[in-house]
Amino acid sequence: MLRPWTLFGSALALLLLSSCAWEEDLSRLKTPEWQGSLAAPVAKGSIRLGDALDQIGDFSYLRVDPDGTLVFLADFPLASYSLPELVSLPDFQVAFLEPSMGVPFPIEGATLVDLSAGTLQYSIFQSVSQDVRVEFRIRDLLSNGQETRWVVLLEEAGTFEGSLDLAGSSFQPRNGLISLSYDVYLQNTQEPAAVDRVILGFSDLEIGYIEGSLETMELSLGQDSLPVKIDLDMELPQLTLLEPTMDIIIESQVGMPNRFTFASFSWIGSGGESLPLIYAPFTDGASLELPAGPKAWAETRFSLNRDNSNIVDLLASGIPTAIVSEPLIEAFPAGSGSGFLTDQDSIKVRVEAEAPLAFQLAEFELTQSFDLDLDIIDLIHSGSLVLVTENEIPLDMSLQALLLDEHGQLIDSLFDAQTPLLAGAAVNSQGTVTGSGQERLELVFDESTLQALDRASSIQFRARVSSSQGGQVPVRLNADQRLSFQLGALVR
Amino acid sequence: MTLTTFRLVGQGLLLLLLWPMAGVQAQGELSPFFLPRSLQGNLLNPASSDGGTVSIGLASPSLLVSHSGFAFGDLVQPVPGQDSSFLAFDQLLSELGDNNRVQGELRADLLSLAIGIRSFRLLAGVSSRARLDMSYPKDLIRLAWNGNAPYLGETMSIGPAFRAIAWQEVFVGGQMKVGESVQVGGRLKYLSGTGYAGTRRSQLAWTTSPETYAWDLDLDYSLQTAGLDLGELGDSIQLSPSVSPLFFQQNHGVSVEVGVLFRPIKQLELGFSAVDIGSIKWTGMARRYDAAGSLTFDGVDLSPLWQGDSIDFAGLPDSLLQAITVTETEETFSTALPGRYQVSVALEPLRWVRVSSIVQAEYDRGTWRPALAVGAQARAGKWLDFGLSWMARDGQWDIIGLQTSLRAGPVVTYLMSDHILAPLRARQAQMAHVRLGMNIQLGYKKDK
Repeated sequence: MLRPWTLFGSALALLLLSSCAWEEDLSRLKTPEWQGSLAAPVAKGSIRLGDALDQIGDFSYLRVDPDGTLVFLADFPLASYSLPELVSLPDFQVAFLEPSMGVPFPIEGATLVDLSAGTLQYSIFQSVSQDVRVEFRIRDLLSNGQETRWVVLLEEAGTFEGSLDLAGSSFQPRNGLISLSYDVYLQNTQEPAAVDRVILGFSDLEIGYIEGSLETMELSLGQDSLPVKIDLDMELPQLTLLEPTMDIIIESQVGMPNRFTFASFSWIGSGGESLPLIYAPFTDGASLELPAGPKAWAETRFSLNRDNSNIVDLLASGIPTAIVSEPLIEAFPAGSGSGFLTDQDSIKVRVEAEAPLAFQLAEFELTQSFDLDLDIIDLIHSGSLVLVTENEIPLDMSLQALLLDEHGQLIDSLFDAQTPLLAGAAVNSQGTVTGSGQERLELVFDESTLQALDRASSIQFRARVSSSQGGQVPVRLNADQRLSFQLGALVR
Repeated sequence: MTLTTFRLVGQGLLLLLLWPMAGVQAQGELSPFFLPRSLQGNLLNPASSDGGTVSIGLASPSLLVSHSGFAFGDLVQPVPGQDSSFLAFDQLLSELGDNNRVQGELRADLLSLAIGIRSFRLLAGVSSRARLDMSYPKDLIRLAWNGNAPYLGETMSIGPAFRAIAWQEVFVGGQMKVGESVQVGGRLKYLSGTGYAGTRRSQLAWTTSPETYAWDLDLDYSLQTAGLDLGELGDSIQLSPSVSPLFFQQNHGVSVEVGVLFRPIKQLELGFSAVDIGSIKWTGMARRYDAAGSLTFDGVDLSPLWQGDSIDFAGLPDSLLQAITVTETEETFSTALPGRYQVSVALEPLRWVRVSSIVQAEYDRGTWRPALAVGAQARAGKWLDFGLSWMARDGQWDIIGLQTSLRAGPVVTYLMSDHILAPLRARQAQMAHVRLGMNIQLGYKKDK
């Protein structure tokens, strides 16, 4: 029979046998090594294209219309010519066959020519010594409203020369002639005498103003080359603008009926190639507006577009490095007529190019390198970055990142191939955005990649940008289009 | 004892044995049931009598702590072949339940009294009690140890919950026989709440987007406090708690406890009881704090940089927390005590041997939690009662309890524990319990 003492003793024995004392020395507890992995959002953002452009640089050649449309603008002077370059009064000489004579004025039809500069040289020869007084008179050359007169006294035999400054004088030819004469008198008796030869020479004549019933004349402006500088640090050879326009504005003070042409107008590409502008009015000739009067300006605008010129082809070749032009102005193309010119007059040629940013762009490549010094890599066993984008801008972008050593030699790449980074927004047939494009890029840093990053001295990003659908579809950029992104990181 | 009776008892015992397979969880102490000749034997069934004409229970402290999640040995394990140990979080995670409970219960029965007046027995007493329940989801530990990256796209519930309650009890009650084989008992308790802090809602869900790694947090917490002032909850939460000293002046409550014992034959006793059926209305410094909202953190917004502005990193937390609404409401509320229901069976094949079993079901805030204990007690003469019990709770099957009382004249000292092996096998223990005390017992009827 089970006795109480037996039961009690058994229980005590059980307790004693179980008394394997708990000796836990926590000082020998190893510090736990956290093996967890953390996935965390890092950054996000949303940027409006218009704001992005403001931040990237001074895009003074972009205009934002009220509806957000981005318009490419270029406004630059192409050439400027002042009157002396347009028309000149040639030197001419008059050898008197008789004391009074009329000689043709070099500019036919001119009725008034103000001289801003010029010299009249005279040469008198007498073979015998006599005291004579020579009085010159040019009735059609006026100074201060008076005909030009001067006196030369001679005593000895030989040639006597002198000159007059004609600045401020005016020719007023009559019937195309200017009248010149001289008289010779003995100094003591005032009796008429003679000299053997008299010559007048007009030189270095500069026209300050000219008017009259002028004949057709060609004003050769000469060839000019204007370097084009647009602050774009990139070449866009694959860019095709869809709706470019270019206005060539000619501001003129030439008060003469004219016919304006470009003997040449060429677009010099980045490779030095020359592409001629084809625009019928510049080939066939066009009239410039006439100013209302002296010192006034008249503007004549020539609008070039894809239908009346080849500017699409020119722009497709990229931003020009220079524009070479040689304008010609033919005054009075229909024959003689009335007109004027002054020495202050100019002709200015200006270009205004304008194109809404509606374009196709195919596989435009951007390359940028950065030095690498990533101490944090030692703390990471592996990890990944994810970039999720929602893109309202109709541009695709793919990315490759190359890891280079200190000699620039390729060590590894972050992606196996060019990897989509941004998906361009969907567009309709007019290039208008109809929806956003979503893309998710996951960049996995495994052990080998981290080792390569640790060894690399620099990383080179190669981005390729195309308009939506690989540049096969025209797209329109709008300042209100946005690019939103979320960046997350996973580290182990 | 008829054959039918034995069959019923056998089926009942079988059911009791199978019940732990449903997963028992932490409960109140069960050892007093296995020491019926002490005054504390009626803690679980007011109908149970210690056999004394007059019994006085002096201060009797009881402490029970349990943790359903893991034992110390599950966490700290030796490194094979080395004189060191490591934190075995991976193994620990495999052993954690989806939701894990930490329970602590402190009870001090300051004075108990039982006076027999003919067939009636008057019960009275004063107790001071406190209980702490905490629960934490497995996801919280998974997240802390593994990080969130392994759980992309999963919604992890990481909100812990807790309840801490302290109260005083003053009770009166009685026991009486109804016929020859039935004894009933009951207690009516006046409760005075000392303090309360507990979560009504504890929803905190964390989801990490598999696409962007963005964090979504869904918060819905409601905290009730009474007798405790947490201080100001403003834009910047600064807690400066203070405790109300007003015992017995506010936070009143009532509970009842009833029990019945049925002896179909002399050797067999069947019992049913319900204890701690009541509630406390908290009125003193009663407040409710609600915090709710959903927030998403998807990275530091760099957009201001495009506008030429700088990024306010310091203001980031505040801007995120704007999505969370925090309110404080002065509001009285009532809390029900965790009610416990017991079914017991005891067999005394010999005068000095008692074999018994008890199933306890605790109903707390909509959840039933069962526990099972089977024990054998022996009497060694007048002066010693001794018992051992086996218990299944919190998924543990190796809980051995001990109950003993030593009688010296009218003085009865006792010591009992639901898990006597806990101090000896601390690495494996997920619970611990001890109760000790002294009773004065006059007019003891040993054949009780």
